[in-house]
Amino acid sequence: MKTDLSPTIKTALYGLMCVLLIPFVFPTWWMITSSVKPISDIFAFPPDLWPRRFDFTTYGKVFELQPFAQQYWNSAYIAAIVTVGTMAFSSMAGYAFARIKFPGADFLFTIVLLGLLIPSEVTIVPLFQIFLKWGMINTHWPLILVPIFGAPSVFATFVMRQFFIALPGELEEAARVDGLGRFKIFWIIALPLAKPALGAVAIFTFLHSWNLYLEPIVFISAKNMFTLPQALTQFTDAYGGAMWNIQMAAATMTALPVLLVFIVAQKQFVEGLAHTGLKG
Amino acid sequence: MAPVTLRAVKKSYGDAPVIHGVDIDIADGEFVVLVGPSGCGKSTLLRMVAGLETITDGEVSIGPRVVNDLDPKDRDIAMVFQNYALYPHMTVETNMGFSLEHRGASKAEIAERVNWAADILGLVPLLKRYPRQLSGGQRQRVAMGRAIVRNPQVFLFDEPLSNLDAKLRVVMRGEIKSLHQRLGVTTIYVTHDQVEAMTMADKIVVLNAGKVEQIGAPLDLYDRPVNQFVAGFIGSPSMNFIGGKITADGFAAAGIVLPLPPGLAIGDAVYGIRPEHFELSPAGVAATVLLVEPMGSETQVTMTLGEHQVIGVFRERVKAKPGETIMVRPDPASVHLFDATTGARIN
Repeated sequence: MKTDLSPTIKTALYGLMCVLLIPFVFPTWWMITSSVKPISDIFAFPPDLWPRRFDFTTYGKVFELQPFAQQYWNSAYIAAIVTVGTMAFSSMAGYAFARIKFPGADFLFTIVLLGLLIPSEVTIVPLFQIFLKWGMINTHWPLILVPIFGAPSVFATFVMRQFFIALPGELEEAARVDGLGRFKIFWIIALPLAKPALGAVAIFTFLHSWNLYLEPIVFISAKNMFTLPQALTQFTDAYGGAMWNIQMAAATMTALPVLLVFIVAQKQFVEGLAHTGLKG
Repeated sequence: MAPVTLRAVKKSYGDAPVIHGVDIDIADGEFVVLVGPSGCGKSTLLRMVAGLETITDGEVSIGPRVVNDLDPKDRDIAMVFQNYALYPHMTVETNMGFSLEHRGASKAEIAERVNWAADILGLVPLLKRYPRQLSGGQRQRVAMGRAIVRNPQVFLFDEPLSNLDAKLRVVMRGEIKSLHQRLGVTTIYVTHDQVEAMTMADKIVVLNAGKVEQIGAPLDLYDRPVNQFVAGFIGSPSMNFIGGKITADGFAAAGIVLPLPPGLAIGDAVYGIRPEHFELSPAGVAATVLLVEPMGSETQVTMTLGEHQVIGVFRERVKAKPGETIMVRPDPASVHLFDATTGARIN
C-alpha cells in the first residue's frame, strides 16, 4: 500500500538516509581525495574533506614504482577468464541440478553446497601443496582455477539452479517436440532466458576475482605477476612506510572498474538475484 | 495425416498406476477429444502419445509405426501447450519457424511455411513481435501457427484454451475447429470442459481414474451414456440423479413417484433425467422452487421433487418465486436408468 508522507517526515527520512550513507561513502571519498593530496596533508588535523593542495603526480608515480599496467592487465584478464569460466560451469551445473533427474542429485547438490561452508584459509595450504606439485606456483593458474572450481562457482551454481528451477517445463517440452536434444535445449532455450541470473553471476564473480587477495599473496611472488590487490601493498618507501597518497591513487584506479561495473549493472544484479528467489 | 492407435496402454509412477490399460482407435483426420475430471489421466495419455512421458506397458502407434521408443521429434507430431510455451526471447516469426529451422529446412522454405501459417491465422502483422507483446488470444494463435507450420501427421492440444477468458475461449474454439476442417490433420485434444468436448469433437473419449468410461460421438454420449459417470459428466447443467426403486406404478423415490417407460424390471435403480427433459405441465408432479435463474433464451430452475433437489431448464419464462410450487413432468422417453450398485445403464 502506498501512503503519502508529509514533507516534514520526508525531509527527516532523507536526512536520516544521508547520515546512514556516511559510513559507506566516506572511505571512498577519503581514498579519492587522499590520492591527490601531498602526503603531509593526509594526516593534517583537523582533516580536510576537500584537498587544500592538489598533487596529481601521484598517479604517474604509481606506474613508476610498480609495473602497474602489467598488474592491471593481470587482474583484468584473470577476472575475465574466471568470470567466463564460472558462467560456463555454473550454468551447466545449475541446469543439470535443476532440470535433469539423476540418482543422488539432491545429495550431490548438498555436497557441492557444503563447499561454501569451508573458509578459503582452511584450504589454502593444501592448495599450495597441490599447485606446487603441479608446478603452477608463481603462475596465474591458481588464481583462475581456484575460483572456477571453488566457492564462487558453488554460489554461482546455486544461483543458476534456482533460476532454472523456475523456468517453465513446457518450454523444454516444446523444444523437445520441435526437435532439440538436451544440450541444444540448454544452449538455445534455457541459457538465453537465464540472462538476468547470468548477469548477476558475472558481476559477483568478476568482483570476487578482482578483489582476490589471499590467494595471490600465497601463490605469486614475482612483481610483474602480481594482481592489483597484491600490488596495492607494495607502495612503500625504503623504510617500509606506506606512501599513502600513491597507494590511494593506485587504490582509486583499482576501484574504478568495480564502481563502473556496479553502477552500470546494479539493476541487472538485483533483478538477477530476484529471479532466483535470493535477496540481494 | 495418420491414424493413431492406443493398445492396452498403461502408465505407472513407481508403484502407483495412473493409466490402467487404455484402448483407443483414432481414424485418419479425426478430431478426438479426451475429456474427464482433473487427475483422470487425460494429459498423461496425451503426453504419452507425444513422447513426453514413457509408456509403462502397451503400444502407441502413429500410422503404421509403433512409436513407444521414439523421441518426440521423431514422431511427426506437433503440440499446443496449455501455457502456449512460446519461446519468450524469439519473435513470433522465429517461434513459428523454429522447428523447421532445426530440421534443416531452407530459409526460403521456412519463410514460405511461416507466411502460409501466419496468413491462415491472421498473424502476418504480428510476425516481428515478441510473445510478451501479444494478448492471450494472439499467443494462442501463434502456438497453433507453430504447430501447423510443420505440417505434422498429428496435432496434440493440451487444454489450450484454459487460460483464456470465456468469450475468447468460444472464439478460439471455433478457430481450432475450422483449422481442423481446413487442414484435415488427425487431432487429439485434451480438456476438462465438456462443452469444448461436445462442440469440437468428432469423437469423445471420457476418462475417469485412468480408465476409459465411454468412447463415442458427442450426441451418442449425451443421449446414451453407458453409465452414471458419463451421464453426469457430459451435459451442463448435469443430469439429475434420484435414487429409488422401479415399481409397477413408476419410479418410487423418497416422497415422490416419477413416470417411467413401460417394460422395466422391478428393482433398485438410479433415475437420471436431464434438466431440459422436464416440462411444465398441470399433469406433472409438484416441485417446490428454490431458485430461478432467467437466462433469456431459457430459465433454469432449482427445485425439490419430493426430498430430492433437481435442476430443470425450461424454454418458457418461469415466473414462480422461491418457495412456490410448480407442476413439472419428466419426459418418460428421455429417462436414463442406472444400476444402483454398479452405475451401469439398464434401459
